[in-house]
Amino acid sequence: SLLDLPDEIIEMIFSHLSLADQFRVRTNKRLRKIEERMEERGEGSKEELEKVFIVRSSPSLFSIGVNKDLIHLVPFPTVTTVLRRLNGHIKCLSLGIYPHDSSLIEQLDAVSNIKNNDIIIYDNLKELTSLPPLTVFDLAFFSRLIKNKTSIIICYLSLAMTNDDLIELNKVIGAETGVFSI
Amino acid sequence: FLFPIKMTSPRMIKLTSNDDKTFEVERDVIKQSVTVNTLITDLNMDDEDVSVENQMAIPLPNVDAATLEMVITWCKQHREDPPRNEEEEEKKEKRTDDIPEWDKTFLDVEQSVLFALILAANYMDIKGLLDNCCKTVANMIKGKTPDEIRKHFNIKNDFTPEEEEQIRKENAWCED
Repeated sequence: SLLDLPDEIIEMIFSHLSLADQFRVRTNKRLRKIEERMEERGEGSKEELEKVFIVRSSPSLFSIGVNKDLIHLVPFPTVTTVLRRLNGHIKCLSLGIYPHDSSLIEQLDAVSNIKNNDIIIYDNLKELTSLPPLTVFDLAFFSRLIKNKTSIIICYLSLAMTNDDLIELNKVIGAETGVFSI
Repeated sequence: FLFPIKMTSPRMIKLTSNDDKTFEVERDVIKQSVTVNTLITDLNMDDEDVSVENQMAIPLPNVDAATLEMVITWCKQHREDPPRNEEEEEKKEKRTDDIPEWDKTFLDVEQSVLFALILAANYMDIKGLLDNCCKTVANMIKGKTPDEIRKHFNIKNDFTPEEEEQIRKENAWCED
């Protein structure tokens, strides 16, 4: 069994797993402990995620997308768990903004050298369909922030997100949170 | 004028497994084991002009004969590999799709054999072998559900119902 191996070797094996697989491998108390210890030391998954986005889809549910292929509705506590694990050991995050205009995203990528930054942009929406896409003003604002910071969380239009949510997010990530609306 | 060329055979090292089987292996091959290499150096075995018959065998109390034979086979296959720079290896992106084809076939063995190899590679400090073994196990885990992982590796689920529910919630985002 895998459990016959010493912790140090199991850690070596886990270090090769993706973020999602590190979640799923917590199949037993000992393996869970090993995995969480690695997380505490910041030695979790080193995979490069091309894209992570987290949006609020309703007052109680968030959509999480990782590399386009995992999109799930989850409650807020799960979001904070995921963020805790993303923080500090994901080399590269590009951003997801929703609703968005693809040409704006491309422009943003082009001007911000985004691949070299750890960035998560929260697009927190009351009603997905009624909100306008990013404006040129928003684009400029994002770009300035991205150029000046290495780790940013932007909470974008926050009607559905409470102050407590923001405080919790700040606590989990320990990064700057900007709140603004369009 | 013709000068006679002295043909020297490669220097051999003797290794003994924990079930008392002795193997003779070329010095150049076993240099990949940091543990054995250090012992050879510390015991000045490189300097001794002693025939292999009279040479002291290096005991490997944590490795059985079948596993040691596999370790030696791996070392022979990789004898020409450039020395690993561990600092550089640490900086590299963690990948599991870069296991050489020969190693993939070599490591396509029963789990018990693979785990014995991992323990031997760890004890003998053979980084390349250990790394490829760990990647092989990681590849077995990838994409499996928790239940599939338990079944594949014979892992007992010892969570309380509350712990299991907590894990299930935390995993919700990555479940299909």
